[in-house]
Amino acid sequence: MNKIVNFQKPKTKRKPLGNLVWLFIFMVGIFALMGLSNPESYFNIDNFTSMAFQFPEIGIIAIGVMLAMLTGGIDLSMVGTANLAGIIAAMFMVHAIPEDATVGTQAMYVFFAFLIVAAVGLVCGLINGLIISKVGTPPILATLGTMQVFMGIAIIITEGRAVLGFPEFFADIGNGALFGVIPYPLIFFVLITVIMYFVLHKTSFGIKLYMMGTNIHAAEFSGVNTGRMINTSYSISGLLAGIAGFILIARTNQAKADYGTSYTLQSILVAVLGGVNPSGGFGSIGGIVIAVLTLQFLSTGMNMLSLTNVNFLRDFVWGLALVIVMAADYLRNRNKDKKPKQA
Amino acid sequence: MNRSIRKIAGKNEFYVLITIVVLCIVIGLINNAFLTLSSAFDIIRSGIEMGIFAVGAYIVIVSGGIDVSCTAVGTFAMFTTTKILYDSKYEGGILLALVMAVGFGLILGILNGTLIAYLKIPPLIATLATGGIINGFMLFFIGSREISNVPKGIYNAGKSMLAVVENEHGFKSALPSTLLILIGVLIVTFFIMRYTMLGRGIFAIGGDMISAQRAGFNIKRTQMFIYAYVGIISGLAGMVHTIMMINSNPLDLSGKEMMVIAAVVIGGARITGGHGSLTGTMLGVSLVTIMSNSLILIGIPSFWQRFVTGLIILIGTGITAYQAKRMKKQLNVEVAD
Repeated sequence: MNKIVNFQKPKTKRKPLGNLVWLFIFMVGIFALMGLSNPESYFNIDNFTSMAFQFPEIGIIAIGVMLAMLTGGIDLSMVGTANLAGIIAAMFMVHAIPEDATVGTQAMYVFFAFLIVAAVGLVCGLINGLIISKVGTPPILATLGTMQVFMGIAIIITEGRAVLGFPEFFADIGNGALFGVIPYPLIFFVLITVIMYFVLHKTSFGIKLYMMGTNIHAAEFSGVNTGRMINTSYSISGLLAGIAGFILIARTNQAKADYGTSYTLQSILVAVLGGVNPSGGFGSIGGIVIAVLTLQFLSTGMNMLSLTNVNFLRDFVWGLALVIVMAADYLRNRNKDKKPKQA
Repeated sequence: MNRSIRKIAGKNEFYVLITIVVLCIVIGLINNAFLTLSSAFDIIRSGIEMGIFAVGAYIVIVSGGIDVSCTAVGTFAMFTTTKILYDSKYEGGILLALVMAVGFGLILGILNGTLIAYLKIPPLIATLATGGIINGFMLFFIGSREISNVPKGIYNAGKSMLAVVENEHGFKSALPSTLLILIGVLIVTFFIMRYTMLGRGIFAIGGDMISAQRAGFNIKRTQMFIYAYVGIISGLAGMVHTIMMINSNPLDLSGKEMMVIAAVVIGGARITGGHGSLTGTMLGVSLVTIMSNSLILIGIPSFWQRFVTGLIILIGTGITAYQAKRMKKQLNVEVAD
């Protein structure tokens, strides 16, 4: 009896941790490599602050993608949702805020704008969830369709133009820093990771979500309402996309329908690099944080190489990193998987 | 007799065909310029490239996989080929260009196949990664500026037409020779899928990989074949793009892979694998092409185009998915009874 317990315990606990440790080593390696190739400008507090402004948006979107992937799906509509929510909030701020508003009233309107992005995000996410759970469209196609639809609506209401003219107070959310060092976007990101960690690991929703992702039929037979789970997780994804949109328009100080289209691919990359299994059931917030930092270290380091067309080289290296991590994962786990068969 | 009618009516292709017919009638009523030979030629012309890509996507989807790198492979094949021929001031015919594009496609397809069959990386992730790698490599190391002064062979191929019609306003519409490439790819693929053990194996591993393995299909070799063959098709499709545009722009095709996949699914192939037909795929491509070509013709403003495209994807794939879901439910009830 004791033997069995001892045998099972490390098997279930060590595997995800092992992957995270490997990923962490990978991150430190990238950090060292990029830093040593240009130590003066890389190991610099200004550089770290500027990196901390850049990755929160993609990190938040990647957490949303992870939620969808935990159910065994994917969410390609995150960026579309983010832009649509951002645009509607932007239009509200531009038209509703009186010109002579004090900072207090501005803050109140910005708070309303935040509620708007949250609501738009939730609705967009719920639409995704309903299409997937009620109609039965495969997630990749459902969210491909809604991505076009959300972006289409954004283009229709803006007629393809950018929305400009936010209160000064608002731009500070995207570009300011607490005590001059901790960027506000980073604070958003940390808050979201903490909240999502609790949602995934300490609530029955989170536990059911992992269960459902591992085996949807088993979850169904043990009384999990899978349709509702899908609706909830895509709604949360949408909510996160809305918040990312809020930060995006605050940072760039304008809202546009085709912003950040490259984020879709990057966020999937971050999620998968962070150890999220796209067929569902496996993945952790910690992995996402490490993955998004890895990619930020990588792209900042490469930007300092002062090459032309460096963003193309970045796509190349990111793809390569993904293949290396996945292949290493397979080769490392291959021997482990074989053992029970032989026994 | 009754039974065969019911069999046809129950098929997804039938609904897609009906939708196309109804759509054509509606567009024709709104704008009678649509129901002419020249407009038919225009639609075929703009559907050729997507059609070739879709044949590749169809095979992958039937096998239960997905390939989002097909446009990257196609772009790499067409751009690298054009660049090499351009730099070496090649003056010969189109054949060498096609062979080179096929070669590049094959190499990149084998790369995909290795990652998926031998390193067991899930197809979506593997092709997402190779898409980035291929595109990034090409744009950084080979070049990112379009080549509009294409070699003579490609130029001549682009100007070669099977048939030309002129409408009353003097605009010429033509059926390009590249249509023959699409037909060739269709015939070869149909033969492989229908009459060879390999094709049966592709359907089998799409239906249930473990069962297929137990039945004696070599999964690794079959998957390797699939991605290598699809690489070839994508290389051809990319070259066809350059030929028809008479211009090689490495940024032209990115993002189109999703529309290709959507067209294949609208044509009745199930993304979970094991189901689908070439007829359906071609009908799906026709529907998407007619829709996107005719939005302006029926007076939908350009701002609305993306929205309408999204709706087409949602409705088209939704109908297929809903039918599959209902059928599964019926099956479960029968078993329960």
